[in-house]
This record gives sequence, C-alpha cells and structure tokens, in this order.
Amino acid sequence: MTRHTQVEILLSERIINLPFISGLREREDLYRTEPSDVIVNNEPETYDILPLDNSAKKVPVVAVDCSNVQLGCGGGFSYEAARAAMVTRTPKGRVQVTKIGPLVAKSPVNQGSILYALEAFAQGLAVEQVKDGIVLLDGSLPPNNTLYRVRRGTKVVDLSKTIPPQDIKDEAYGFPPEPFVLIRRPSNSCLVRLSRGGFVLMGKVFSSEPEEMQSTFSSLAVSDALDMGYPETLKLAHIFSKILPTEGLSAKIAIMRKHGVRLFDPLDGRKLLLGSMWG
Amino acid sequence: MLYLLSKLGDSYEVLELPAGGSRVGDFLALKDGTGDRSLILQAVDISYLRVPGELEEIIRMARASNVSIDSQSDELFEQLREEIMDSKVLRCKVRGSLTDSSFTGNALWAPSRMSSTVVRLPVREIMDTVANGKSVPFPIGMLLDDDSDFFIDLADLDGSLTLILGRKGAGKSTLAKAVMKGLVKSGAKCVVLDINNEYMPRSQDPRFVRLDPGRSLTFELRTIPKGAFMSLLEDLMDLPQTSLLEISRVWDRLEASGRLSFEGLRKEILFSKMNEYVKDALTRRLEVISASGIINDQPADVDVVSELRRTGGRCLSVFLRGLPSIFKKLVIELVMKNIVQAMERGQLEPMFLFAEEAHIYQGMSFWEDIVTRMRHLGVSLLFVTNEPTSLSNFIYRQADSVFLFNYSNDSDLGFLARVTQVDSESLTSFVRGLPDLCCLAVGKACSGLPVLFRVHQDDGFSGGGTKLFFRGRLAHLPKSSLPG
Repeated sequence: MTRHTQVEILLSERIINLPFISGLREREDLYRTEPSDVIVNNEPETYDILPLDNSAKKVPVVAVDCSNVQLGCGGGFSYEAARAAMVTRTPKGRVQVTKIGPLVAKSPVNQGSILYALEAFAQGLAVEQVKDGIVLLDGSLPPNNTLYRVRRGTKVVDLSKTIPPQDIKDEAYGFPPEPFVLIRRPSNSCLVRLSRGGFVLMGKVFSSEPEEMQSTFSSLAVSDALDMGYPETLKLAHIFSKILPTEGLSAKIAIMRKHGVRLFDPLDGRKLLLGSMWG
Repeated sequence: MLYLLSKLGDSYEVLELPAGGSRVGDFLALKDGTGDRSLILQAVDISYLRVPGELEEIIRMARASNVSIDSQSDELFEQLREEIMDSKVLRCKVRGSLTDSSFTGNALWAPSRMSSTVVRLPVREIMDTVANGKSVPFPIGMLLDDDSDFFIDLADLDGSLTLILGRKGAGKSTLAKAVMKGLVKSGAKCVVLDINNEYMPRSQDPRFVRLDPGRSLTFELRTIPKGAFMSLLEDLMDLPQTSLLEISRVWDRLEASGRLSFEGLRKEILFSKMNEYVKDALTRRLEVISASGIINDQPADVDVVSELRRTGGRCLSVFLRGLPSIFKKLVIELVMKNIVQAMERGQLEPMFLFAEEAHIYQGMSFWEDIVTRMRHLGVSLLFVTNEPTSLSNFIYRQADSVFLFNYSNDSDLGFLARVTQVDSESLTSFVRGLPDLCCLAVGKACSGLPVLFRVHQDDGFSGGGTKLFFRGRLAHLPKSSLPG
C-alpha cells in the first residue's frame, strides 16, 4: 500500500511479487512524485462543468514563457543562459513578440538557476503591460506567487502543457466535445477545452468565482488563435524563449570573446564511472 | 576565416565562418603547419554548416516573419548566432600541391588539422605559378573569381585537339571566334568549317577570306585527284561498284588523251556505249555535281592551299549555311583532301581547323582519321558542338583541352563526366550553374586546372547570336497590350 491510492504500478505480477520488490513496495518514499499541477488527495472532490461563451468579448492576451540551458563550467563557475519571451496579441489580431535575453548567469557550481527570477520578472512585466486582458502563463506560477493580485482588471491564467488523459471517445469521463471548463472543488483547478475537438488542458484562473473563471476562459478562447486547443501566444512564447543549440554555442563563444572564459561541459560522473553505455 | 573541417577521400571540407563571398570554382591553399608545402584545393560545392537545432532555428525564423519582434539581447550574441547559421562549408577537391613554389598535380600527404591554415588563392596567382610563363599569351576572357583577365597560351592549342561544348546560345561560337581571331593576330593559319556563316568580321580585313562553295570556292576537275573524285561518288553519292568501274575507265581514257574535264567526262559518258542503267546513274550524279557549281572546268578563283601559303595570319571561312547536306560533305571532302595532300607534301605550315557541328557534314570515322594523323600532318583541331554525344569517345580521349559551357541536362552531364578528365562532381557542380558566356576550361589550355571564366564578347563578327522575333517589338508595345 502507498499513500497515493491512485497510483497503479503497471508491472507484471511476476516482477511485483519478487521478494525484494515487494519489500520495497512497503516503503512510502519509493513513490516520490515530482510536484504536479494536480493536487492529489483523498478528500471527496466536486466539480462544475460550465460551457464557454463563444460570444465573449475579445481582450488583449499576453503569454509569457522562459527557458534556460546550462552552457558549461569554467574557472570553478557554472554558466547558464536563460531567456524570457512575451507574446502579445491585440483584439485586432496583431502579434508582438518581446524577447528578453538570453541572459547569461555565472554562479558557483550547483547553486540554482536564474530561470525563476527571470520568469517572475517577465510575468510581472506582462501584468504591467496589459489592461483588461489576460496574462497567460505556462503552468509556471508558484503557489505563493502574488501575481494574481493584478491591477486594471487583468486576469492571470496558468495553463499547463502537461495534459491529462484525453478522453478520445468523450464518454468515459463525460467530457463534452464543445468548449467547456471543468472547475474542481476545493482546489479550484480547472480542466478546460478551448476549442471544439481541441485537447483538454489543465489550468487555473486566479479567482474563486466560477463565473469569473468561465468568462475568463471564454474570453481567452475567442481572443487568441488556437492550435489543437492550445493558445498560439503561449506556443509562440515557448518557441521564442527556447534557447536552441546554435544559440548555446553563440553564447559560449560570446563569453569566450568578452570574458576570456572557455566553457566545458560539466563532468558526468555516471558516464565516466560506468561508461557511455551504462552511465 | 577559413578552417579545415574534415577530409573524405580526395575531398576536403573547409568551414567558412563568418560566411564570405566564396564561390564554386575558387581555389584555396591549405598550408601545412610546417609552412613549406600547401595543398591546392578547389571548391566544387558550397553548403551550409549542419548544426544541432538548425531546423528549429529556421522554423522559428519563418514564424518570426509574420510577427513583429523586439529583441533585448547582447549584440555580440546576435552577431555570432547569425554568423553560425550563415556559415558555409566548402567541399573542395585536391588539384595538386605546392612544395617550395613548385607545383605537382598530385598529393600523397594530408596536412595537419590542428596547425594548418587555409587561405583563398586568386586563380591568376595559381595559374601564374603553375603555367611558368606563356609563350603566346592571349586574353580570352575574365576570371569569375576577381574579374581579372584570363590568359591562355595559344601555343597550348598548337598540335592539340580542343573541344568547345555547350548548349545553344551559351557562347561557344563567341569563344571560338575569339580564339580564331587571336590565332590570326598571332600569324597563324585557320580554316573554319562555318555552318552558320558567322566567322567573318564586319569590317573588311584581308586576313579573313570568305569561301562560298559554288561561287568563290570551286574546284577544277583537272586538279582533283582521281581517287578523291571516285571516293566522292562512292562514299558521298552512293554510286554502285559497276558504275564506279565504268566512270573510272572513262576517266583514265580522258586523262590519257589529255582531254580530262568535267564537260568531257559528261559527254563521254553520254555518248559512249554502256549499260543504260549505269549511264543513267552516272549522268544523274554528274548533273547534281554540276548544279552545285562546286566542280567545274574553270580555274578556281580562290585556291585554298595558295591562300594558306600567304604570309601572315589568315583565316579561310568555308560558308556552309544553306548548302544541301551532300554538298556540304562534298565541299568538306574536297577542301580537306586538298589541305591534307598539301600538308603531306610539306607545302603548308601547321594550321588550325575549326569544325562547327562536325558530325553534320562528315562521319566520325573521317574525323577520327584526321585526329589520328593530326600531329603528323600539323593540323590542330577545334571541334565546336552543342551536342556532346555527337563526338566519339575516341575524340574525347584524345582531347587536350575542353571548354565547357552551360549544360543542365542530366544525361549530357553524365556523358561529359564519363568522357572528360574532370571528376563528375566538379563537372556537374561547375557546368550546371554556369551563366551564358561563362565557361569551364580544363586540360592543357589552363595548365590542367579547371578554371571558370567569362568569355570576352566580340561584336565585330557578321553573324552569330540569337535572333529573336520579340526582342525589338516588345519595347514598342504598350504594357496593356501584353497578355497577363
């Protein structure tokens, strides 16, 4: 038994029943999971399914995403490049991309990342820029973030790229094919389908009112272009923030030219000790 | 900057970062770390550097074209990113090596990857190094790499077989005319078998002589050897053996009595007793010859051999346009027989023969015979054709220099790659993309190095060029009257 009753181990019975495996199964810390957007608990859960209004008002949408890469090590320091991208779509459909970075951070080895700081900065900047609109985040808002206290009537929507199991036949879970939002209680997390036939996404609107959540997702659905149910601004923010290998290489050369530091990949202990095949 | 990237077989890959103006055909010197020897490379293809993430970068650029972008990033970073994405890889073939300024056409060593350097080598510089001076330099065009004059040594064409190949309108005749003019200026004798009557300068120049078959170019029967006349009837006019025997007898009879003439031959056949079919066959063929005006009993206005024996440069253009095929063959046969005979007797200096579309008026065996004997006779041949397959493999194998203009047809390129001395990759890469009037020279005329150049255009000739119906009219038509 584990503390996560929903977790099912998909292994064959023969393997599960091996003595050392069964012994391990009793240890609760064996099934540690990464932090997830979905809070799993045993409390009874309720939910409302509300349809999205396709006659909602068009509003400006600003999507924010960030990415980072470890450039390498040199002189006892670790070098990291991070970039944020903000993509704005006006109600008239004009798209503007703002790229911030890449910023290159030098830090003592294994001392964290500038990604979160840059992300928070870009999110704050997005909220500052838009009025009566929607700020779209990439499932990256930490729980203690104060961003939801936004000004000028702007809503913050956090959409995760981790999609829940999709009900292809739209029967087992009862997801309607039309755009909808499913609000789960007491977590206030949502499952939302923004376009007919699009993927069901996990998301959150920073509001406790179901009607406000419904109207926000309705506005988002009509204000942004949707690709398989995913907002295009968020996709563009991801595309333009991603640091590609050519850019990583350019950043390395730039560091060498400007600061005289030659970067090397950090030593991979596993590969060194176990070899490339087993490491 | 150029960097040695890799080697595969006889090909080297050189990275150009940041991208410069490298072109296919450029020469590079790959200097070994020791400094006293270099490999001479020639770029045969240019591609982009394959870097991880390039596809994503390109897709992102495509997306960026639809949106407005404000980028807050480091200038050096952006510059480097663009340089990496734009960097080129030059695939190069080894053309030889330089050791202590001495060129050899092969290299049995590979330079150090870490300490070698790559520098661009102007074609002129490498040609000067390789050629070791020219005895009869002639500016034939402009080098594609730096627009400087490209000189060939006309002495390299002497005693050689040269091919000028290219699709129609590409500039073959322009080059042939330039070479011919250069030869005449240098005092050489040339004969041009001019299929389009275009090898005469517009302005009067006594060094250039026009030979119109049937008018200024005629042959007195008395001066034609019997064997030549018989072979004319047999080979060109398909005269059966029986008839041939009959006319041979008549010829001997007339010659013995000192009455040999074209009219005498006709009359003798007409009034002698012989099989009516034979008489008819002979009469019809003599009628055809008579109608051409090429063979008669008048002394020729212009004697080809005498013209070629005059001092100074001279070019005889045999105008063949409009002549029926059989007469073209007849004229060439007679002209060549005269010339060959005079050369065998030592009456003529070595000369240059330009044959345009040679396959049209003579069979390949005729030309192969000339090619086999050309060095002994003293004839330097230049074939000019737009149909590469019209020349035999034998002729390609004997070719000393080849000038190749644009071909884009795969089968033509495949054929040329098999028969010329250039590797197929270089040939395809160079020739397929050549603009009009641009040419690849390979072989003796360019010291064995493939060189790309633009031919000097000379407007001083009477014909040639492409006549277009719409060229003059389009300029005067209002735009609204044009379709579309």
